[in-house]
Amino acid sequence: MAAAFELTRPELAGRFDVTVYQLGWRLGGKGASGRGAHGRVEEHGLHVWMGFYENAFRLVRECYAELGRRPDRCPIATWEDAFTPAPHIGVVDQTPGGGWLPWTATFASAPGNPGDPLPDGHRWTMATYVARAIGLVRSLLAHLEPAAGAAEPRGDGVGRLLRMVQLGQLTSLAAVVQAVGALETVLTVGGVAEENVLIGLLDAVSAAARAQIEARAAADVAVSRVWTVMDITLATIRGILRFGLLTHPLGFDAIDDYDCREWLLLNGCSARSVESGFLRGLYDLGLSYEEGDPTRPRTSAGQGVRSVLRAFFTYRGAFYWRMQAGMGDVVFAPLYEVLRRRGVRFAFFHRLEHVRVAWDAPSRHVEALDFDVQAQVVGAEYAPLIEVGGLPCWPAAPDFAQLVDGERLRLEGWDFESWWDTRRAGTRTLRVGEDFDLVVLGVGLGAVPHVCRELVARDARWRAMVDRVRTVPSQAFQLWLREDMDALGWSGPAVHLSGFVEPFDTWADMRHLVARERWPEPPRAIAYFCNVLADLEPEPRRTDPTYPERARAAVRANAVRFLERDVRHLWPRAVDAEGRFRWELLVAGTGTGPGGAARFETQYWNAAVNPSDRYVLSLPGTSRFRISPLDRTYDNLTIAGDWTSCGFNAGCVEAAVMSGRLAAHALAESPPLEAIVGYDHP
Amino acid sequence: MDVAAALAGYGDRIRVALCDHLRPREPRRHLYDPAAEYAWRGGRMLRPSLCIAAARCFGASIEEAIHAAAGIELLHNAFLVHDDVEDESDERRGRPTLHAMHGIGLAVNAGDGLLLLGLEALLANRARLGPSLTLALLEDACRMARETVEGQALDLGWRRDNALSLQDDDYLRMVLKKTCWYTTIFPLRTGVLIGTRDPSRLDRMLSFGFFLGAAFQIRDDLLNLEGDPRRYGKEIAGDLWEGKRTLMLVHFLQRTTAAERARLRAFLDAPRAERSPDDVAWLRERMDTYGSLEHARAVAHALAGAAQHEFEREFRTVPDGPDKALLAAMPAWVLSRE
Amino acid sequence: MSSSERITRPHPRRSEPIRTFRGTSSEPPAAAAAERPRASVGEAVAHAVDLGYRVLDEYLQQGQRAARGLGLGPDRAEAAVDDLQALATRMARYTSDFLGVWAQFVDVALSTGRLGGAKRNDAPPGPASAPAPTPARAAVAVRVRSPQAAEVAADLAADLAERPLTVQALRGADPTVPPITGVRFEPATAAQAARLHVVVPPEQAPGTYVGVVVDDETGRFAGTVTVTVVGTEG
Repeated sequence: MAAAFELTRPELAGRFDVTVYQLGWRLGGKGASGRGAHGRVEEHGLHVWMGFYENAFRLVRECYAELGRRPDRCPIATWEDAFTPAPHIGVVDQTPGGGWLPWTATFASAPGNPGDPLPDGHRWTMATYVARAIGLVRSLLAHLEPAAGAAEPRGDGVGRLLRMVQLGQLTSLAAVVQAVGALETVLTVGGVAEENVLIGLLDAVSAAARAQIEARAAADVAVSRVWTVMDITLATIRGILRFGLLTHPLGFDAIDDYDCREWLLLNGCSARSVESGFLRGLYDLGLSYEEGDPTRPRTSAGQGVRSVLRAFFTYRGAFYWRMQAGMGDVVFAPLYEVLRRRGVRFAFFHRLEHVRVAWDAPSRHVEALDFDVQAQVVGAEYAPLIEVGGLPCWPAAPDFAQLVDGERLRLEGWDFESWWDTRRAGTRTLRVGEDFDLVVLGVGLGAVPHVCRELVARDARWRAMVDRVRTVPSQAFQLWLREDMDALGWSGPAVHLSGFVEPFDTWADMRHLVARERWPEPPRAIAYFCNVLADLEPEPRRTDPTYPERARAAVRANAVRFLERDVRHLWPRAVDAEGRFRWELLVAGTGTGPGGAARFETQYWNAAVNPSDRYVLSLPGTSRFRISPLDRTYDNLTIAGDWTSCGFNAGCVEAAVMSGRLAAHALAESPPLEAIVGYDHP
Repeated sequence: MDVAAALAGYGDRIRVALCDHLRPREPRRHLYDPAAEYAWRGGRMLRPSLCIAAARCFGASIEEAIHAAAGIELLHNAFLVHDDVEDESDERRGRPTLHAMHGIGLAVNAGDGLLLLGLEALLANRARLGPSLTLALLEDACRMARETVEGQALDLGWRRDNALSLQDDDYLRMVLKKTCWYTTIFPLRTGVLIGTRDPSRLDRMLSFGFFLGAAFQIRDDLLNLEGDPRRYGKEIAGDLWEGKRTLMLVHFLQRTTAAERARLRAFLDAPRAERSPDDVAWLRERMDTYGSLEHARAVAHALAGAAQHEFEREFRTVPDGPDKALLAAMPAWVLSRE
Repeated sequence: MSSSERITRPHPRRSEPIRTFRGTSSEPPAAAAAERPRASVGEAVAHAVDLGYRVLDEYLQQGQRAARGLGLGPDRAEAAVDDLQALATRMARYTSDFLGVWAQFVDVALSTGRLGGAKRNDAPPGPASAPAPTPARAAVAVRVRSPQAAEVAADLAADLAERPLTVQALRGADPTVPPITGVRFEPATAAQAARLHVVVPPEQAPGTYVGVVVDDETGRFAGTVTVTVVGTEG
């Protein structure tokens, strides 16, 4: 979508005539959402937009500006309506006794908003990150240091925890604070001159801090948490210096072969910090579990550290931003409307089956694209959107009335998004020079081995990419609850929390969506949970139509077990006196609905097992196997998606947008590479 | 900035130092006189001057740099003697090459002698600069020598295997090792090392040296094709006769038709003695047709621009002075020399 | 259908992000350098500059890999650093580091004995003189003339005490501060021990100054002299 948006900019004066061929009835891929019963939002998974998603926000902001919705007619007319700051985040620590202790923090708002133009002369340097990191250490220490800390304990979140610290007993930290201050000055003012000296200084500071804090941390949860963050930060700084990253031509890619946790340990981080909720929370954010196995956390240190530094030190506005409706509604519906207005054609119900390459041509290129046409549309064009409360939205199911023979397809249960449902109304082949000139391949990586089987078989780089860059399915469920969070035992603002017990380690409080949906009796709370999902089989066959349903059953079982066993650590009052989950909390819509665990049927859950929907991992040592949208091995093909080598090689919206903009650059030399924020970045 | 005058000024000082290292001694006729031959034929003393200028930029005196400068010129002469043998060249600095005058055996031996004299000159720094810095200089000289022979091996290997599928980046890689290291990078590094006594940051000179040296080499190759024979000092079009993989040839190689490629292959396959003037004229004419000289000229300009940029970046905190001005003027001078 | 009839993608100038220090500045030099020639001589040349940087980066990376292979660690693998100014301020430290290495080198190379001399001048300003503290090895007397408190340490090879030695200028950390040049060595004679005369000018800034001692005749390294000017209030 980002590529289509770039290629049809008015500045390009109609150089490109764009048609989007889309599986099923809705745009968005992994980010698609639909409106179900009572207008409830049903997401593929849980999506957060982080405050450093510069390219993604820029796209959305430009899109809303061009759309020009009228605030009196549409509840989400501007990008500020669509996204609101979500500064409250949390992680969960396991106590020695086996319990779970949530730890929430509020991130101060940072100047500006994501997508604002960057200031003149802006540059991404490793040195700036190091200086910012050391600044963080100093401010954490200052909170532990009595003189500074007692005088003005900082606001809520971290501050709330810090107030609990017994400050008086840490007096000699004053010296450490001073030392860190000196280090900060060295790093910011004195340039980045001498790694060895800095490492020595840093080691001295770390040792002093460790001696001062670690013993106390064992007894005091609050101190322990501050120490964890400090310990990880110090190890990161040390690693950047030790591995020569300050000036390394590969930037963070130089440590791509290490797992993030392994790299931190190598650089002196304690095992306790590596096992902490804080770090697990970061792994959860990236669904960084090999083969979806929660016991095998693995992610590239290079991309991991790059992500974390950007997340913590370059966010603008808020750390997280929360979408005020489904992602389909706030992102893909406006994009669809704008692109439609620009003359982009959308061919829905087109399932790409085969990308054919002219191997023997003097210059290799895509010569044909084979599609299954899943359904014929009645009339000229399929109108995909519906209105819910005045907002254009995607429905959770196609509008069969617009399809030829639609009633029959509905009754027969055609699932247009399932890879296992191969039924079709016809086929269509597009040929180079006749039907297209240039191709942007925007499928998910999981689908590449299927639709590009020839490419993968004959091109070693493509084969290496699909072999090495791994994907995992994900699982998610959503609850609509009769009681609010206070009543369930969670007090405080709406939070986004990770690092929790598997299988659902991430929870987002989505109470703000109640107003967007259309319930006869509105729920009091909405909660989304998600995580990776292990493959039921190593290579599920397409001929096995039961596979998606079995996966869904597995997710359902996981969710029910989670509610019965684990959710009490977050919501102590969601269980009754006997400790059983109160199933009646779930809103069943109209009627009374079933009781007991069967009531879960009324909620929404999803197993994202379709190849194209699988989540892309950033496993150690795999970055180099990614192929760039700029690669020109095939002279009329480029690729887009968060699985490409796009400068920010992590599975997220930002990477997808960067990749789309790169793909546009590959075809149009626009936008300039320098305008793709964070592409040229260590 | 009058680069020629500045180089001449340093050249005089260097020649005085060379007098000492190349003083007549026995066996004169078969070793030391031939060894001194190229040095006394004149030459711009570009390499040692770069060394002195860089050293002075970082606070050293000319005396502190003079032995190193002499050493660099002696090593350069040693490479020239061997190069001429390896390339089967006939002329150097307007006169017959050493092996043309004395035979290959004596020429190669004189080249070896020059290498040793060069190392001795570097060793002579001990008194003034101390053993540790001297050791660092020698280590860097070893690295330079290694890079140079590796680069020369690439170049000779391409000719020997008659490589025809070369790209611009192959050419640049070869030039980085074969030419830039001993023409620009090593002299600059040596100067910086003497000035700063800091061996840890020498690679800062790599970018400037590489772009400057590459522009220099391309310009040199262009002069070989179209220079004034009296001023150029080597045989005109000698590179074509030798089948040397210049940027122009690489450019032409990428554009040949099948027929041209066949003829070119045959030409390059033949021993030098069997290559005909007609073929050389044809090759030159083809290069003109394809704009290969134009291309090389443009690339040289671009690389000199990059050199300028790198210079400004690396030397921006060095106080202004005649030596900084000399180095700053090098990229433009490299392009303008004839 | 042949590629000349088809519409094809333009050739990208590069296909990887610039992750180097150079490339992260607001004005990427690859582009900046390319811009000038590009305007005049076109695409091919910008491509050449680009290629140049790529060849260079690849070369540097090879060096770094090699250094890692040798166990030197990436920080020994030299890389361009932005700040030249830092060089100057680091010079003194490098000099003294160097001297240590140097002394070892001399030890190994010449297998000589060592002799030390040290003198701390805590006395009020004015000329002072004292023999070296360990008479058994003492062959150097240090004479300091300094209006400020100064500490002198000499590290000289033992068999050189009777030789003519030159003490080079003693340099401090700050290159803008003039070096101490008034240090002179007087060889030992039958009548008296070797003497080191140190004159610190009244306006000399406090700090540590290090200089090298060289044997005038052989040109060999003979040792070091370190003077620490403590300041007038000391």
